[in-house]
Amino acid sequence: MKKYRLGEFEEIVMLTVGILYGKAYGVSIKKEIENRADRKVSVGALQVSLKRLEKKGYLESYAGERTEERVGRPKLYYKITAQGQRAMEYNHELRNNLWTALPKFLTDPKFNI
Amino acid sequence: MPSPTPPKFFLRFFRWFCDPDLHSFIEGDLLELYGERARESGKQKADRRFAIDVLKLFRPGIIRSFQFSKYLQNQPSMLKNYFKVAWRHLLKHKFYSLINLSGLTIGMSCFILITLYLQYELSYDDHHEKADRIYRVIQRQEGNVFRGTDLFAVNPAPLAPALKEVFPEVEEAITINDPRYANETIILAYEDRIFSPRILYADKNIFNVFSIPIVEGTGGMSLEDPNSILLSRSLAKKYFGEEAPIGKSLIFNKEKLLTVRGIFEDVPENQHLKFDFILPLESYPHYQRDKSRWYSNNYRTYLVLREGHDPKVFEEKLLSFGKEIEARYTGNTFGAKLLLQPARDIHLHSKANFESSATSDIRYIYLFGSIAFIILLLAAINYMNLATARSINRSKEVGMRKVLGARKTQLVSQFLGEAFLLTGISFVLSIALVKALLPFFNNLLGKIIPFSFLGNSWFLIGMFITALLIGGLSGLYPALFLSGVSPIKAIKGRFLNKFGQGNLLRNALIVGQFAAAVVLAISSIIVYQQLHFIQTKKLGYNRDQVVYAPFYFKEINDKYETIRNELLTHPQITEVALSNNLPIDGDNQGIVRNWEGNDEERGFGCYRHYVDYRFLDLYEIELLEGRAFSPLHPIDSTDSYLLNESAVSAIGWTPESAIGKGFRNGHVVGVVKDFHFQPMDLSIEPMFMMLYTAQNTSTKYGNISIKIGMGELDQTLAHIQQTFKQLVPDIPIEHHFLDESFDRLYESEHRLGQAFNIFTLLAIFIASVGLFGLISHSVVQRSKEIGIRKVLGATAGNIVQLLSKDFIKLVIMAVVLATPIAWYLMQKWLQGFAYRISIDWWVFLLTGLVALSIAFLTVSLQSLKAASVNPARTLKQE
Repeated sequence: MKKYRLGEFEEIVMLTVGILYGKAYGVSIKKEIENRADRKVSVGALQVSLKRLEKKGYLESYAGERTEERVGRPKLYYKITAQGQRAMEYNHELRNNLWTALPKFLTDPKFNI
Repeated sequence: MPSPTPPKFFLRFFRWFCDPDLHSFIEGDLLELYGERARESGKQKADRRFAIDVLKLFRPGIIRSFQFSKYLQNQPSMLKNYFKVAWRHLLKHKFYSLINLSGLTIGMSCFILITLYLQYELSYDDHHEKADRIYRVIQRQEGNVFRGTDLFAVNPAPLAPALKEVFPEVEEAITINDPRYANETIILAYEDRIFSPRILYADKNIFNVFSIPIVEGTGGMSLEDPNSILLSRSLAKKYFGEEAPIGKSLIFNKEKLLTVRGIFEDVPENQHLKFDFILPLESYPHYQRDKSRWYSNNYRTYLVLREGHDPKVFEEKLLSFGKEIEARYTGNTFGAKLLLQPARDIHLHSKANFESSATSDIRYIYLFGSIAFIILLLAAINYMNLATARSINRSKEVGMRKVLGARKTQLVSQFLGEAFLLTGISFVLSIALVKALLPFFNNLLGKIIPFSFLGNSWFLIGMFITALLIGGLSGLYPALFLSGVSPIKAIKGRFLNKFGQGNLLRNALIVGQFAAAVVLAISSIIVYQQLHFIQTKKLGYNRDQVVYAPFYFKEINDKYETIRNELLTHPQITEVALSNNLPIDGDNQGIVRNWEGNDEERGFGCYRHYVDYRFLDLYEIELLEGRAFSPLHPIDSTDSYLLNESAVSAIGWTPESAIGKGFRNGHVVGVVKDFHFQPMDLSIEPMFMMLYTAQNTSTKYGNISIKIGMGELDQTLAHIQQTFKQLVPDIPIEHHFLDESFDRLYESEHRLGQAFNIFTLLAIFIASVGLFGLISHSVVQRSKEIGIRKVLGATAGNIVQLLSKDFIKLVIMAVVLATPIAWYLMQKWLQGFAYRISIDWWVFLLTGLVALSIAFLTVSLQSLKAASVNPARTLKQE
């Protein structure tokens, strides 16, 4: 099913948007990923990925409030679309299937490889 | 308080390129982050991060689609046209484009390579988390000049604990030891895998000072147990392959069983302390005895100052602390001033004795920095000169554009744009070129500089800005110049007289270019001469055909006579001698106060060599007076001394009168001619020799020198190895050639000298290419004039002369200008050597002549071509 393809970073972004339900905009997503995944996320990489996901129809955005710390610039909030949710579920399922198909000894702690 | 604002330039840049649909949202994000960072880590850091973020946003997906119509006020085709014209121009004049492109690309590649090198050299010990607060404690022992300096990078063992105890501003202080001959004394074995890795004895707090990541097991904790060992990741791999290393046992120096407790990440090449494994300081053989002794001046002390403490203030305190030590000190006087040295400065600024690894010199950084700058400048000047000179060809285009209503700013931006296009292309080309050339460059310098600027955004940004600057600077003058002419003159193509306005500037630039190239050329010849001089200077001993084997175990000394006899059985081996030091590395020095007629009033530093009966013969060291050591005189083993000329004259004797005089606890029996036992940047100092015996030397360490004949080298070396293997089977012995080791003393100078030569050649090449471009242009420009002159009877010679004259004059001026500059610079450089050449006048003459002939060749080839064209052809074309 080609249409549900999600990259690694894209999947992280999708999940993070889901976690931050209702509060997901550029800075909050960036921080959440940096905290959870312990990696640096550049504004550029994130924005490109958000935009691409929006183009694919997995995310949709709406303008939010203007705060003082943003010198009056509005926030752009993101939320997951139904299509996006399907894509995430598909990915999750795919991974689960792959994990169960893995030979047992690979995941058994007795066999330390 | 007004909140800080982000750098205007980047904000504007962002607004300019960002997709308007996204613009306000992303800008909001950026500003929010900026405000936060400014609060947390200060404006400077926030500014930098802001710039990085903006530059990282500059990518497809964020950049708006540029619609020319919006941008250029309904002149959609204008920008396209500029681009098209620039591109056509590049393609049409392939020759000039090639000259510009090659010059710029070579220039930029050199610049990037050198900058990479500089960045690498400057990055030493920068990776430690506390890098800006780590200091090494060193000593200044006034009056005790050893190997050219009175600084010593060693300290007594109790110093570090005392510093930590006495001074609250010392966050941490550690003692370590990296025995000088460590990489050779050590044998570390696991089953049949035996290596001699680099050792470090360290106290357990070393990890609080240096950032050495532990990848497996424990770090500091395990150094409390004297039987543990920490290995570097790659050493562990060498011993254990894929097996888990923790808990395995290694045998150290054939006697001690050590357990692997931890694996640390390999220490980076750009760190002054280099080691492959760490042992607890407690297990260092003399440490138990030394740890309370203030005269155990054999350890290294590093400390971390707490944040906010000024090292200068702390250094003051250390001075008075030195007196305190003095009080606790028993036996000899301590007499050393303690100084602080930032860890990051060690590689480039430290000149102390007993460094842990070879250091470089900040002067090389300046030298190469200026070369990089000069080469880049030369390339930029080329572009500038050629562009202004060739502007006459563009005059009709400029005139037409003006008539049709082009504004000056539009024209300027057009020509600047062309310059940017060209520098942009060569920037990309040179990055590819650098990537391809870096391995060779590394090979040349003996470094491992990574091609890492893709990971290092600052470097890339810096380079990009440099490229922009080059484009801007070199394009600005032609752009202003071209756009400033009146349209009528421009269309008539007559705004330039014979050589054009801007002639003066252009000539000045040519002179500058050639002067710089000539300075570089003269310097590189003199550098080469000096290095050659050092390597071939008469040393006072013969280092040819000598193989030596250093040893570190008493067994070898015990079996020496057997080894010697066995070695001599080979017909190609003519002599074997034993000594503690080799003539290339005299490093054992002490103060002598005791000689006949002195009564210990005066003292001077004197090097000691312990040699056997055959040493003088083997090295062909000349005896001036008296006799050499000999088995016929049993007294030699306790009472006899050989002095060198410098020692004799330091005392105030003459070689003749010295014989038989009392010296230390014995008498002088002979005087040898001065010979160089130290690198050439040091002068020959006083030295005495004693017989190598168990009483007066540590017989664990020494060198066996073997004089070999010319033929059958392989068999001879095989015999030497065989002998050692047979007589001392379980000690690895390596043999070296003395002349190779001698050359290695000057290796880094040699390598840098070579790099210097290469960059000089490139600089000359760039300058010549520029000249070539200019002369070709001027020939094309004057083709009609040449035609008419020929018709009127000028010979080819006349025409060559006519065309060359002006350029040759410029080059002569450049040579005249360059000579005193080069002389001054080289004079300064040579002062760093105790033994140096005097600068010969012919170097200047030769370089000048070569420069002239290169210029002449370039110019005359082109003018000859022009002169030999049939005038009818040039005259009829319009």
